[in-house]
Order: sequence, then structure tokens, then C-alpha cells
Amino acid sequence: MDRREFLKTAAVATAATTVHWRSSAENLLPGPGKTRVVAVRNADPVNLFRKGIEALGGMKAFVKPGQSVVVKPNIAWDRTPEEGANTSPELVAEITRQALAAGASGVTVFDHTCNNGERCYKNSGIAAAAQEAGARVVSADKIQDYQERTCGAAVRMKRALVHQALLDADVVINVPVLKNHGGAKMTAAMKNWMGVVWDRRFMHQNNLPQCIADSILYRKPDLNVIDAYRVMVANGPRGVSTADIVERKYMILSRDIVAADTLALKVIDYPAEKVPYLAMGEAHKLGTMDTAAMDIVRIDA
Amino acid sequence: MIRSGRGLRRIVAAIVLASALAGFLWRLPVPPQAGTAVLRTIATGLRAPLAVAALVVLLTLLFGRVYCAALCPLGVLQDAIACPARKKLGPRRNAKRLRYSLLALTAGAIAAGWHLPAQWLEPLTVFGKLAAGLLLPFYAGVARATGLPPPAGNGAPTASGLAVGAAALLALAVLALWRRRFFCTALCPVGTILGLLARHGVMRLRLNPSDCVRCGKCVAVCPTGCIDLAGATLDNERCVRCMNCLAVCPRDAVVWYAAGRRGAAPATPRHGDADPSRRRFLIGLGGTALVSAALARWLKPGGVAPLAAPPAAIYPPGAGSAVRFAAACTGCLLCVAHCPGRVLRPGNSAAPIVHLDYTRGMCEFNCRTCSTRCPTGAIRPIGLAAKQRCRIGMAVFHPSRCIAVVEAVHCGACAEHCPTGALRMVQHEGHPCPVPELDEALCIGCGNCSYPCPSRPERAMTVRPVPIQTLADDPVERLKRPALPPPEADEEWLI
Repeated sequence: MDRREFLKTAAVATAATTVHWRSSAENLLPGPGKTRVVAVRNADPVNLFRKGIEALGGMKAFVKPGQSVVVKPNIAWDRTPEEGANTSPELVAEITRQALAAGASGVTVFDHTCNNGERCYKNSGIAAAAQEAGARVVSADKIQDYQERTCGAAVRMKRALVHQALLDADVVINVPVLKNHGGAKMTAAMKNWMGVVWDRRFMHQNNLPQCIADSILYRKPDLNVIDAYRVMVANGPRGVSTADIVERKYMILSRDIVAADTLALKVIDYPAEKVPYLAMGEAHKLGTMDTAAMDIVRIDA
Repeated sequence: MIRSGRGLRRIVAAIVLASALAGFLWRLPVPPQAGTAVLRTIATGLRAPLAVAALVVLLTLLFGRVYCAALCPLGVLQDAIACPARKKLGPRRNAKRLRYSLLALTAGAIAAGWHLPAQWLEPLTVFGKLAAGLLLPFYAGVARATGLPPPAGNGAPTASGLAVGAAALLALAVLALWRRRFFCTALCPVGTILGLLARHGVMRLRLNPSDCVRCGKCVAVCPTGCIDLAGATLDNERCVRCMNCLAVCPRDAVVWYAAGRRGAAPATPRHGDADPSRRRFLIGLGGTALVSAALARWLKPGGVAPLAAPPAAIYPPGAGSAVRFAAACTGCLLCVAHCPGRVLRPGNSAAPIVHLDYTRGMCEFNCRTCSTRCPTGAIRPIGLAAKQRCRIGMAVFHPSRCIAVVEAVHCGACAEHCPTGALRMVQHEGHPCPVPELDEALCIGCGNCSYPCPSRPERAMTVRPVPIQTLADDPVERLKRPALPPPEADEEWLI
């Protein structure tokens, strides 16, 4: 082994242990062995979030004064809020306001979109709503917005370009919208993490479900808020018309990304064994699919 | 107080050039032009663009070719290229035969339905080739290297765009440095028509023989070479009203006069109606136009000549058909510069006119920018609802290249992006993962499946050209499902 090779191996090993240390140290199952998952229903997205975050100890339990926050909604498509393909803009605004009220030094919002970035940011209503609430909306459609990271624990995607804002943030809040998905079957919290990675072609080429699970190892969200107010039940993830939408008026909140997705499946009535990335996430020790291991709080708002 | 008008002309010209350049580089509106307005009316049947042309005609009838001096970006660009040279100019031969022949040629071809001559003679088109093909990618590169504000337009360089842009710039620079407004007085069909109007215009310029001392200062600054000191004449047909002569004449011998007023000298010597050379000349022009029209009918895309088949490529929504678009597009590249999806490309060796390239991007479903920008009407204006069902191509699925089929990899990139629901992932018995299935009735050929397809070296989804753009099925109707009842407030918890 020459020096260069040694240094390379050392670097990869360090990166790998860093990621592992982070996963174990962050205490995935808080409290007496159970992970709390909050399900709220029957209100508008803003009030669903207000009730739900209360049950998780309020925004102050996640954001300490002076910390920088990333809010990562789903802004993938050039569609209007009513078409339900993106996260509700008022929800992104409310999370931004609460994070700033909790003392956050700043809130950054971005998503690596599928359609033209400018059009998605604008027509989803998210850029305007987030900016009005005080967030900084940054682009994610240029390779310069990303930085390369490696991850030894990943199964397929051992190297990825990850959005700079995500790497810089102290606190990361994942705010997906719940949808039926032609390829991945369901898109919610875990699938939303494709939007922090630059190279989607690699992910599609190399076993998409595995790459979805791998992507979360690069930076696990501290809080997941699944917007299931409008749920796209057919023709997802883009949708063809508002006939694909059912107003379920649900929201699921948890620190555990796998648990949140597991419960989201019940809202769109789909079997967990057909969504392979959930088990892959569990194998990565990102969370649990076992409802018995969850402390589920149900709230009628 | 305006003495000569040169200062005013320079200010307006600078604004026009700057806004035309900004229009191409930053996706802003480009000042409307007379030549493209007429082409747009011919190509679309819309009457509104004629207002622009009528305004220019009126202006020219009143004051002469002020449009050429200050409102045409290509005209102004020639002055901008040549002005640092500070070359002393002289009188020029009146290239009558050349410009009337080119006008006859252009008019004949356009009358026969082929806008080919406009590709290199219509001024905004030439300006566009240069701005969008060369300057935009050049500036994008400079902005990347220096941190200047990047252009909003599509600055991706293409070999063909750079070549066409460089050719346009080189030709224009050579002509401008050699003979200043040679293009405007000898080649440009718009200029030729306006010249004929200016010759019979209301306000004309002339040299006042009693004041003129033949010092030659005006001739030295005249970009068109329209002043002849020997005969003390100023040719109002070629004069573009730059006002340079008015500004430099020490004796104010260049004067405006109103045509028809008693005592005013005629601007140009009148030809006798019986002049046999004039008759021959007119017959020659008529012949040129007829031959041009006949040739165009034979050779134009969709014409009867064996090589007249238009190139098979994907054309923008609103192009109508390959035949129509190939005949009408002049290649000004404004749509290429403005395409937010960066999928429109200049013509190249494979497809010699503007087309969509799905290895570079995809046609955004909610976008119809190109149809709203096309100055010549080659892309017809199209409503968003019609655009979203306008079939510009047809997707082709190649199972042997698909990683979901061959490698049993969960992918679904194509179906995920398909905006009409024409593609979906279907689970077949015995195969480990879902594979794409295409419903051709819904496909509009937008390339949203092809661009994201990860299969290489060849994509598993490609789009084949269609000769005529047609209406695809309505996805909302075709994919209609029985509506689910809205959930009740006190229903069982789903979780």
C-alpha cells in the first residue's frame, strides 16, 4: 500500500465512521424505547402543524436559538398548490415562522426540482410564501449548488453531490407531500430526500429504492412533517388533474423518517412490503417499520 | 434645441441596440421590427403585426428611412461596428440593380411560400443569428469566468449556432468596415422597400447649391454614400437619415424641404416614362420574381423536387407541420435563446432548422414561451390548453435498452415525469419489477420521458418525429376515475 492509497482508505474510513457515529449518537428511539409519531387530522395545514408540533414538544425542542435551519419541501413539479403535486406553501411558511420564532439564525428553503426550477418555485407558490415568512429561497438547479460527499455505510450510492445548504445547516426539517408514485409506489418523507442530491440519473440507474435509503445517510432530517392534507391517490407523482386528489386533511410528524413513512402508507392504503425502500431504511438503522415500537399520538384538530 | 438631429438619432439607436441585445440575452421583449411583422402576418394570417409595419411605412413616408437609422438593431449594429474605424467615407455607386433584384427574388420566394431568402436578408433574423448563436454563449462563458450577472437566456454553446453567428458577424463586419451601410442600401429587402417609399416621401433632404461650397465634409461622414457633390444631389432613396451631414455641414447647406412645395428642387432626377432601359429593367425584375417564385414552388420544403422533403425532426408546438415550419422559419433563434427548458436548438447537420433535442432538455408542459416570442410567426401562437395536447412527436419505448426490463432495476423515471399520464409503470407477472407501458393516444412527444431516462449509451425512451402536429387525447377525460367521496370528519382513523 503506497501513501496515496493509504490516505484514500483512511479518508473513506473516517467518513464512514462519522456517518455511523452520527446515526447512533442521535438516538433514533427517544424516551423509553419508543419513537413518537404524531398523526393530526381535520384542519388546514397550518393548524395541523401547530397541533402536531405541540405534541412533539414544540419547535423549541428542535431549534435552539442561533441555529441555522433548512426546510426541505417537495417543489418537484411545475404545478399549482391545488393540484397537490408539491407541499402546501402555507405549511412551509408556518414552519419557517415557527423556526424563526424559536430563535433560528436563518431558514433556507430549496428543492432539486424535476421541471424547470424557476417555474416550480414560482407556480408552486412556495418561493413567495417562504420568502414572505422570512426564509431564504435558494436555487438547486446548478451543479455548483452541491458538494461531493462519500458515505461508506451506503449500499449503492457511496458518493453523492449533496446540496450545500443542507450540509451547512444545524437543523434540517423534511416537509414532503404524500403522493402515489408510479415508480417508487409512494412518495413521502424518504423519497423526498432525492431532492437534496444532484445526480438523479445515477439513482434511477442503480436501484432507485436502495439509493433513496442511501441518500438519507448523507444527512438525516431532524424532523419529518408529512403533508397529507391533499393526497394524490393516482397518476402520481405529477398527477394529471385535480381528480387525482383526495382531501384527506392529515399530517404526520416524527423524528423517525421510516416510522413516519410507514404510517403514511396507511393513509394511501398501500402494503408496506411493496415499498422496498422502507425496509432498506430500517436496515440502515434510520428508523422502525414496527408500529408496536411506535408511540403513536392521534389528534383531532 | 435640436440642431441636426444626430444626437437624438444616436440616443434612440443606442436604446434600440441595447434593448435588442438585452432581449436576446435576458429573455426580454425585443423591439418589434417591420420585416418580421410582415412575415408574421403572412405566416399566421394575423392582422395585428401589420400595425407595426404600417407605423414604419408612415414614418418613412413622412421623414424617410429613420427606421433604418435608429430603429433597426442590425442597422445600428453596423454603425457600432464601424464607428471606431473612423474611416473617411466617399460617394458610392448606387447598387440599384442588386437591391431590386434581391427584393424581387425575396418577394417571389415568399409569395410562393418559402421564406428562405429572409434567412440571410431579413435584418432581425441576421441580428438574431449573431446575438443568440454567438454573443449569448460568449457572454454566458464570460459571466461564468468573471462573476458578471449570468444571462437568463439559453447560453449553452452549439457548434452550428456559433458557426452561423460567427459567419453573420464576420460578413456584417467586413461589409460595415468596407462600405458602412452597404447591407442597408444594396442587400436588405426591407431597406429597399422603405427606400422606394422615402423617395416619394413628404420631408426630404437636399443640398442647397447656393450655400454648398463642395468642401466634402458631408460625403466623408455619409454611411450610405448617397451624396454626390458633382451634381449637388442627395439620394433620398438610399439616405437612412443618420443626420451626420446636417451635423457637420459648416454652411448649413443640407436642408429639409417638403415635397411638392413650389421652388423645391426634385430629390432625384426623374426618369422619362418612355426610357427603354427603364422598361427593360422592370421586365427584368418581374422576370426575376417569377423565376424565383417558380423555383421556390419546386424546391421548397414539401415542393415537387425530389430533395424537397423537410428534415424529420421534432418542431416546437405551433409549428404546424414539418413542411410548413421548414418553409416559414427564418432561423432568428429568438426561441432558442428564450426557451426555459433549453431544449430548442439551432439547426445543425442532422436537422438544418430549429428543433427540439431531448438529449439536452425536455419541453416543459406548462410553457409556451417559443410560440409567444416567434417574431416571424413560423411558430404560431398557441393557447396553453392546446399546447398541452399538441402532439409534436411520438414516444418510442425500446425494451431492449430499458434497465427495468433488462436489469430488473426499479427505475420509473419516464413514467414519473410524463405529464399526460401516457406512460405508467406496470407490474407483469413473473418480472421482478414494474416496467414502462405507453398509451400512445395520450402521448404528445414532449420528451419528458426521454430526457430523464437513465439508460445509456442509448435511452430506452426516444421520441420519433411526426410529419404533422395533431391533437392528442384529453388526459383528464381518458384517465377519469370514479370520484372518491370526500372523507368524513368523524370517520375511523386511517392510522
